[in-house]
Amino acid sequence: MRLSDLTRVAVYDVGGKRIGRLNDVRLVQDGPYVEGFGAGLRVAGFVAGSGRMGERLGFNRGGVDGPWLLKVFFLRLERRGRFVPWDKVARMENDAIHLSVSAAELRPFEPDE
Amino acid sequence: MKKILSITLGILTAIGGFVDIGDLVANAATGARFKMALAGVVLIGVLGIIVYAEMSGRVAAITGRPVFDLVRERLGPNAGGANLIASFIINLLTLCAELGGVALALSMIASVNYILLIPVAAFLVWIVIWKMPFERMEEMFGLLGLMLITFLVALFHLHPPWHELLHSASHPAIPKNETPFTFAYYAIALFGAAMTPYEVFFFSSGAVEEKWTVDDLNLNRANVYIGFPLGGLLSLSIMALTTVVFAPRMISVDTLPQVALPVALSVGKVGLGLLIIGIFAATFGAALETAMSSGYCVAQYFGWQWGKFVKPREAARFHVVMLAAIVATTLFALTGVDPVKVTEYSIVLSAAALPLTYFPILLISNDRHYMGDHVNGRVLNFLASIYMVIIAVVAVVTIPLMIITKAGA
Amino acid sequence: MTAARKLWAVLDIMDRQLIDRQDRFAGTVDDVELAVADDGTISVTALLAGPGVLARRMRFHRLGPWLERFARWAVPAESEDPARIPLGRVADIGSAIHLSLDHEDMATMATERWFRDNIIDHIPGSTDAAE
Repeated sequence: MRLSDLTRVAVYDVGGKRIGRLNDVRLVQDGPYVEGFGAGLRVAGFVAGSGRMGERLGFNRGGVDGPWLLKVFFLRLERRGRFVPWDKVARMENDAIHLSVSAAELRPFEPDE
Repeated sequence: MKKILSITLGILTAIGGFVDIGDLVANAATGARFKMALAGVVLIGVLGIIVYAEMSGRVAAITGRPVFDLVRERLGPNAGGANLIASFIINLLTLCAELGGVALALSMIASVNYILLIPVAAFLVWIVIWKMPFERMEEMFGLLGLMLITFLVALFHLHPPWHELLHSASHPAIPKNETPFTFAYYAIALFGAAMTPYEVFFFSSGAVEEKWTVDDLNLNRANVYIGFPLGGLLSLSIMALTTVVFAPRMISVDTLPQVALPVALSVGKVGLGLLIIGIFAATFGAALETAMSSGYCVAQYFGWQWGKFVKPREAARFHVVMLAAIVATTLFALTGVDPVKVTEYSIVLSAAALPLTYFPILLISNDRHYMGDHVNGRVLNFLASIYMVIIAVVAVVTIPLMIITKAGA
Repeated sequence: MTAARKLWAVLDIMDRQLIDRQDRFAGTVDDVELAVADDGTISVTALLAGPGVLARRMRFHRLGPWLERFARWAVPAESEDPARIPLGRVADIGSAIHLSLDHEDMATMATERWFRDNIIDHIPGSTDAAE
């Protein structure tokens, strides 16, 4: 499987309601040890949002901290997205990811997660 | 002397942006048509390029990542690819014009039809890229380009009515025989020339070529704060010269020899000789800048090895792209297209493509993961935001204006 | 114990410059390979880089796989797939990604080799040091 097979795939909650597209995948470096690299990169979850490019600019998820005007604008856009822990994925299809929870149970990504 | 040599990157970058072949004529044409009414636009452009070139140089010094690397990384392959295509076409158009410009400058010395000199110009550009170390290259053409200061000397020597020039600049008025559209079109052409994207491609890649580090941030500032205002000053002195000499006689300017005429009138043959050296160096420098930018853009988008800091065979694709660009533009230039018109079109096209280049620079220079404590300060961000708005507006209105005014005719 | 490092796959890894063990530029991260373990966890197993990988990611469904096969043919590396950089060969993830690989063994070099051997090497001065 490739990352590009996941990005932009539509995400549906337990009731079949579409909550957006997969924007980015959260990796945590606590997976099985890989010789030469260290602890492996485990997929911990993902952000689902509108899928527009404005959401990968790094205002909420990355380290971009200004300018104020752009930050206000793009932070609002990014924070419309929802963070989905990987254990809430019920099943994956070619062009859809179905969750085991309802959209109401999901929150926007918090930068310290 | 060592200090001067260390800022030749900024000087060469700025000369290639502000006073290359198209801008030499555009500046002269605006002076003759609008007097100093568009001088303010040059100042706005100078400040804009200072703001963004400083950021791009700082990012390159701290992370080693030049501008087109950032474009790909933050915009992704699709939007980044669109910018690559646009920027590459702009580079080629400008390179084509500069080859014509170098040939025109040479033909002012040797009385040969300039078309015949285009292959000579192209070969010289290629051999410099192939053989000459980066630092030697920028020193040589940066310093020779300074001969364009002859424009400023000629202006002083004419004892122009300074207060009238100043009044025309500070109270911009559209002449009776011009429309607001042509006024706006020339304003965008001047703004676009000041902020052409190849300046930041070349400048940031040059910073990597020279192996700048976090210790070179002052060097970055010196290059930016001296180079670009100098480019703007040259641009304004050409405008003032033609305001004084041509505007009262209602003569319009559209060829290179006409640009040189006021200098010959003012400071004679020696001045004219120095000026032609300056014009040669400036157009040659701009040709180097655009030819190399075409290689930088493509190589950085795909992550290929690039740069003159390695042997040509270790950056084969980078050199092939530049060689192909030079060959293709030479053939196009040989068809006899007017170099001045070609740059005018490329400047206006580049105005439309500006946001896709400057936006990623603004993002990364604010990204703490990249820049640590060297992220932009508040004042800089305030200015950069204003320019982002200007750039966005310019990008939207440029092409309609070009159509309405039939490219400023 | 320090907290585990956290990254965003798209923001922090995709499209970053790759640098080989001799500090030469070696392409960009064109995609990331993921694998599902028996217990259902998904992990990164390799970074992918090469024109075929990029073309496939940009939805050129015929061109992409064709270019990937071409790279396997053109780059005679010990590894089966020169477009694949196993995670164990990734030394550092920062503003660029440093590898403990030689770029000659990578798919991103397939066309570089061709242009070097067929064009650049035939021009006098191609091996002159820049300074």
